[in-house]
Formats: sequence, structure tokens, C-alpha cells
Amino acid sequence: MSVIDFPKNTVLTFSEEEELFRESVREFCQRHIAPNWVEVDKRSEQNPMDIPVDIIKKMADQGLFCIPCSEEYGGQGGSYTMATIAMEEIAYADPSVALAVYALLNTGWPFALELFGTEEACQEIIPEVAAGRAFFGIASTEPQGGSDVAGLKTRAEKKGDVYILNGEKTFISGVGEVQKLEWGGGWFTLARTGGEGHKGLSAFALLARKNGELSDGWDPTIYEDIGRHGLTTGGFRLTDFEVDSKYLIGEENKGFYHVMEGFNLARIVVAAATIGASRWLLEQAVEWFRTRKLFGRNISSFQGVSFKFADMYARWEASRYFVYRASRLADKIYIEKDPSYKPLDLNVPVALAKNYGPETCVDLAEEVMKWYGAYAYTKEAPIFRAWLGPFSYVIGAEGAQNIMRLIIARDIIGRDYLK
Amino acid sequence: MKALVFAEKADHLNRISSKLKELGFEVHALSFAEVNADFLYLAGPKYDYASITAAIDMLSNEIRPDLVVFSSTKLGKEVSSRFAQRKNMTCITECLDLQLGDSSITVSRYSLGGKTVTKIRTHLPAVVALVADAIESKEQSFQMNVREFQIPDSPQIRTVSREEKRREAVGLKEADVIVVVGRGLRKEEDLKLVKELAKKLNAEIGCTRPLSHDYRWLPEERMIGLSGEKVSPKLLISIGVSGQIQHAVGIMNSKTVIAINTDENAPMKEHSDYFIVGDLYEILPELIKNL
Amino acid sequence: MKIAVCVKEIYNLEQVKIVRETREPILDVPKKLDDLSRNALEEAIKIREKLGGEIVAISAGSPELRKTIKEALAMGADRAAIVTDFTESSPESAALVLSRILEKDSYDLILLGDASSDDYSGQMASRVAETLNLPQITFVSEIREVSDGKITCVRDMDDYIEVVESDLPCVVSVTNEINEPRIPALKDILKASKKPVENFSLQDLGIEISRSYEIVENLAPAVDRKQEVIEGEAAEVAGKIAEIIGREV
Repeated sequence: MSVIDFPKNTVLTFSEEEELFRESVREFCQRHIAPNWVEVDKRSEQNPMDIPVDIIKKMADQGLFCIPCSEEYGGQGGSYTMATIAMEEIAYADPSVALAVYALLNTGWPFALELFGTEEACQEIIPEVAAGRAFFGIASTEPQGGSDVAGLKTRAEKKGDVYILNGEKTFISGVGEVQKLEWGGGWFTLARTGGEGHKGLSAFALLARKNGELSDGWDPTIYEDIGRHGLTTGGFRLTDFEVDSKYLIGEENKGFYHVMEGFNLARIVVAAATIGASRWLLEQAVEWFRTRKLFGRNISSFQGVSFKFADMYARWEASRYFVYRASRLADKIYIEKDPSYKPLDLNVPVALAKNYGPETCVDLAEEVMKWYGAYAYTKEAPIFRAWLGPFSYVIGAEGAQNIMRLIIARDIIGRDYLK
Repeated sequence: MKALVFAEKADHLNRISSKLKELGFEVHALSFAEVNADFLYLAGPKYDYASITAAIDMLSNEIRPDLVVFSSTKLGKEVSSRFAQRKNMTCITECLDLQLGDSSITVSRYSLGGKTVTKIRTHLPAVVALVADAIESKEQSFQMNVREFQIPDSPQIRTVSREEKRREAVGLKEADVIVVVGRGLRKEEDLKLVKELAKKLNAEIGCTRPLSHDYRWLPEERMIGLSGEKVSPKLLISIGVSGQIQHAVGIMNSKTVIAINTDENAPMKEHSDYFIVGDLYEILPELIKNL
Repeated sequence: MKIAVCVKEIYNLEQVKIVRETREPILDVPKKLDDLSRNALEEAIKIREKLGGEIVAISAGSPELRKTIKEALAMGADRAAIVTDFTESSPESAALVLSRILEKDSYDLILLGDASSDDYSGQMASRVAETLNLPQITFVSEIREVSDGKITCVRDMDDYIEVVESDLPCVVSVTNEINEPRIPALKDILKASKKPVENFSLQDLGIEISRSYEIVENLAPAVDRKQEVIEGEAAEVAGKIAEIIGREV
């Protein structure tokens, strides 16, 4: 039973197909994800390599990966807004957001590959990702930090038809998945082919494993995360790792620009996942308010509680506007290819969504835990799982929050005035 | 006022006949067994809708009843609506009661999936199918004119085989204490725990639909709810039952309801006098020790 | 094989709330394709997968049906024929409307749910079959075989299981245990918009609806339980339950 229904809306509107798609994703998730998410989170907390392969397969069969990719690559041929709807619903059913993050990485990054990659690479990788047999995410962060993309150190030397990569990537989602899934997979990654700064970087599709075979020169480690278990995080070292030139994404030394467009796309669906988790949290709160009594009154009769709730509810609705505004804009640019919209137009809308969605979600989770009281501090109540999972996006996965603020400030105030 | 009644089960027919008699109808019954009626048309059993519909049609042309009544079994629903369509009449199935007005009747039935009870009034003549178990009636005296009747053999489909469902004699209806178990139970083996409790309390075991129809851990006749049994024990102990409305309508006439559920927001709370928030696996062993 | 599936739009019952004071239902909620209709449609799709042919979804309802019917098209119906100005529904009028649409074409098999999840009246198979003068097989839990001109089904009745066969054309109603309906994927949903939908009005079909009964009231049953919440350690709680049982039995 849904406690929080979307209010009637004439601004944030959806087509019949979109409504129908939301319903079908919700039904799928209620059947296969909602009853299992706590179990998945618990199991993978014990052992990060206990990856929910069966659920990933079911999600693939339902067409929940590579949503905006072309049908000729095994994608769904949908819009970016369709992808956004799906991620919101998956996270509503799994508010630890592990499965939503699996789905959104494997939607945003294959789509970025389709935008800039070679025909051969797309033909090879996207169908496997769509079928749930391979993982394809993003690997840009290095030991010295993630936000300073332009300063990254991994090098790629061209030798004939191949590039030889040396370096190290850290805090990368999917390090376990590429080892465990049937086919394998890898990442949209960056390495230095030219000089210092962002103009010396090229993007590659780096496959750590394909057709079930591990590639040489790839040494992974798996981390123990505090939340959103069920999706692995790890790192890897590249030692003379060979990448065929067909895996070069876009032009040499233009990788920075391609990856930034990819980040814009991925951030929309990250924010979408957090508004889905927020809806779950709001429902937990409302159900609690309706049943929990304190001093003989419903606890929501205390304005300290209900007013705070109203504030959080307002932030959730605002986040939804930000998210869908960005997804509609992405559709104009990348799906409809309307020439009056440019990739750069996405920067501020995406930064707003990525900044506001995760922060709202985490702040809300914290409030809900306080409203629940001591019970929420036990592992029996699953609310903390919806706190620790989305928290990764406040910490900085898919772009640090202050970088989002910088993007907004730079654009509105003017680049020159921030120096 | 005349009523023509058909039910394939004698006990259903007797209940319905008594109700109709109480309302002042002259009761004509088509039956496979000796039952109470003013005019009994005693026939050999037949279970195909076409033959029974034809028989009801013949009798209704002869008797000209104001009301044609069926038991709301699957067969009863199938025949009542086929007959009503033939006669271009209203038919209301799954009726929980029946009241007589001025050349009209009023019936109640669940709607919106059990969320509401709708009262419907319709003019006579009409066709209704009554949930026999829900009908309350007192014993009546009848004229008992009995006539042999041949149901015309006119099936439209061929029966390849018919097998009675193997049914345990389940005394849910009469039980004073019922233990109901739902999806909170994790494995079939854990039924042991529930059975032990039921034995201590001399109680019957009931269940929700998933346990009987999806998992098949318990026989269908133990299912309580909208499409199963409706029970009225003195005490009902509900274990691991979420309390969806489709189940809850089956327990509404229980005198006292105790529920054990881990989810303190479960809809079952609303249907309980005592709602215990806790794990059945911890509480049941303790409870069994205590009894 | 040409299969008609009669489907029904119902309120999304999960969203129907009850006003606590008056016990009235709030029906300002979206409609959806009934679950049992989806069971019927799923069965039709399985038959088409084996024998080929066409599936036509047939329905009568409110203007909202233009949207709801897309669920049937997304699931796999090839086209639809609907009436969307049918708002005063009774079983007899619904049967009449569906039959008039069905008469416009000839079908080998007419499938529907054995009832709808909202009012569980269960009349439509019989009424449609009677109107079209066809045989019916109701409460089918398994379709054993469909071949040229013949269908064999298992019926799940109250006290017995029956295997029956019928010549085609025939009307078959299915139970919700017969299958697990597929959930349409995005591709199917996008395709659905391009499938043809014939939209009739009652006037096109020459039907005038008159209501044969009157709804006197429609209220949630009064539940008046104490709702006393008991929490605590298992042993302590068990003691309390034992005490209550002692009092009540």
C-alpha cells in the first residue's frame, strides 16, 4: 500500500507511457526487490562478494538496464526520463540503493559509451550489460582523490594498435561484479595520453574481464563498505594493461569532456535513486506517526515533529522537480537531439539535482531515525540501511557535493569571480 | 410470493429455504437430496451448467417465482448468471444477507475487494446467489410436497473426469478457538509450532490464502477470508498475518482477536483486540510452555 | 487462432482509502487493469506463442479506459476494441456491451477472468456465453490443450476438480492461480502506443443502458477492536497472552 502518493501536478507531468512504465517497474520491484532488499544488504555486509546475481538477472530480463540505449545494442530504446523513473522506483523498493546504483551505473555509462564510443565496442559491450551478464560503470577516482579529475595520473602509451595502461584506480563500483557476472565487464575510464591537465586525458572502455576471461595486468581489491551492500566497491592496479584502440572512447585527448558529459547523465539517475529512497523514508515516518503514541498522543501531534516532517517533505518534492527537470533536459539534448539545447546546459540543473537529492535523503533518514527513537538504532529496524546507502552520495560518489556547489556558483556568479 | 431455489448442497439449501420461509416466501426447491421446502423437485445429481440452467428455466416458467435463489458456490454463480441472462434479469451474487421490501429486495455484499459492504436494492422478480454460510435463519415448518423431477440432459461441454477434492473434515465454522497462521511463518516445517499451540488450546488451524493456495502448506478448506471460510470463534489467535482486507473480512465475527506480528504497522493491528509486537519464533515456544 | 480477451478496468484498490468518521470510500484514485484480466491475457499470450494467431483485448469502461487498455496492449494484445462511455456498469449491461463488440468479429476463443477483484461478482463468462449462444468453461485453473476446434481445461470448483472439453468457439474464464501474468517491459510499453485501438460509443453499438438496481449504501464494515498493543520480552509477553486466553476461553 502506498502511503505517499504523488500529488496531482500540472508542472511535473508524465506521459501515459511513462506512467505505465512506472507502474510496471513498481510492480516488478514489489514482486522481486522489496521483499529481499534487507536480506541482500545483510548478506553482502557479511561477504561483499555475495552479489545478488539472481536479482540482477531478473532486472535484466525486465529490461531495467541500458534503458536509453538503442535497441540494436540490446538497449530498451527509451528516454532518459524513463531511466530516471526506473531508478526512482527501484530505490523506493530498495532504499539502501544498492540495486538502483547497479541499474543506474549500467544505464548511464553504457549510454555514454553509445554517445562517444566505437561501433565495435558498443556492439560488444552494451548487449552483455543489458542482459545482466556484464557490468559497465565508471572508473575515474585515483588514490590522490576523485574530484581533481584533471590531475589524474594513470598513463596510456600507444603502441601500434593498442594502448598500454599503467596506474591505479580506487573507490570504484563494480570491482566484484565484473569478476562474478557471467561475461565480465569493466568501466568507462580515463588515462593520460598527452600532457598535464584535462587536455591530456583520453577515455577508454576498460574491460577487466570479457567472455568470462580475466584480462592480464588487472589486480583488484575489494573494500568493506558501511552501506549499500550488494554492490561492491574496490580498487585495481593496472600493470601494462593492454587496451585495443577500438576501446578508445571519442577522440584522443578529449576524454575529459566525454567523461564530464557521462557524469552529468549518471548524476541525474543517482539523484533519482535518492528521491526514491526518500519516498520510502517518508512512508516509514508517516506510518510511524499514525501508530506511535507518546504521552497518550500521536507523536506527530507534537509540532517539533510534524513541522520538521513538513520541511523534509518540501525538500523531497523540490528534489523531484530538480531531478525530472534535468532528465527532461537530457532528453532534449541526447534523445531528441534538439539543436537549441547543448550539453553544457545540463551542468547547473544536474548539479542542483545531485546536490539536493542525496542531501535531502540523508537528512531525512537521520530525522526518521530520531523519530523512531532507540528502535531505529537497533539493526532490527532497517531504516539505518536507507541512511548509510545514500550517504555514499553525500560523501562524494559520482561527484562531491561541494563540486556541485562550485558548478552552480561558477555558472551563476561567473567563473572569473570565483578565482 | 414464491421463491425458486437451487443448491447442489443439501445443507446450503436448507439454510436458504429457512431464510426464505422466514421472509414469507412459498419455497420451491430443486434439489439432489431430501431438503426442507414447500414444494420439492427431487432430481438425480447433475453438475453441468447447461442442464441445470435448462431445468431452472423450465421450473421458473411453470412456477413464475418472484425470486430465484442460488447458493453462491462456483456452480451456483455460473448457473445463476447464465439463467439471469437468458431471462434478461438482474442477478446479484455473493450476497451476505437478504431483506424483503415492497416488491423489492435488499442484499449486502462485499465490494472494492472487501473494503466496503454495498447494500443493493432491486425490484422483483430478481435472481440472487446467497453465501449460504453467512445466512442466519431459524427452523421453519414447510409443506413438504415432494415431486420427482427429471433434469433434462443437455450439456454443452463434455466432462472427461471429475474428482472430489480430498478434504479433511475441518471444523473451522464450529470452533471456539482458532489459530490462524500467515506468511510470517518462514518454512513449512515450522507449522509444527503452530500445531503444538493449537493442540494445547484444542483449537482448529486456519490460514491465509498464500499458505493454502500458493505454498500449499495447508489444505484449501483451512483458508479464511473473502474467498474462503468466514469464521466466528470466541477466540482467534492470528500469527504472522499481515491482515490484508481480503483475509480480515473472514475473521470479523470473532469475539476476541489476539495477533502476533513483527511489524507494528501491519494492517492486522486494526483487526485485533490485543496486538503483540514480536517474533512468533520467540513468543510461541514461551506461550506453549505457559499453557 | 483468434482470441478475444475481455478485460476490465477497476479502481486501484490499494489506493482506495476509507474516511474514518463516515466509513465512506474515497474513489478519487486512478484505475488499472484488473489482475484477473491479466491472468486471462497471459493465458491468451501463451496460446498464441504455441499456435500463432491474434489477440484482441475487449473492454467497456470510462474515458480513462483509453489509457488503461494500453496495459493490455503492452502485455501483448495485438489490438483492442473498446467502449469508453460506459460508466453506469451492471453485470447485465456490461455483458451486453462486450457481446456487441464481440459480434463484430468471429473468435475461436473468448477468455476472461473468473471475476473481477473489486466486486467478485463472477457473472461475465456466463452472460457473454449465453448472449452469444456459446458453451462456457468457467473457473479454469489449467488449459490442458487447445487444438483445431477443441479445448480441454481443468476446472477448480468448490468441492471437486473437473476436466472438461468443449468445441470451439467457447467462452473460458480463468482463476488467478492459472499463471503469473508477465509485467510489460519498456519496449513492450513503447510498442503498445502504436497498436490499433477501435473506440466505439454506446450509440455506435445501439445500446441504451438502464440501471436495474440501486446502491443504497457503500460503507466500510465497522471494525471495533480494542487494538491494545503489547510489547516486551518474549517470556513476559507470552505470560500476558496466556492470561488473556485464560480469560476468554
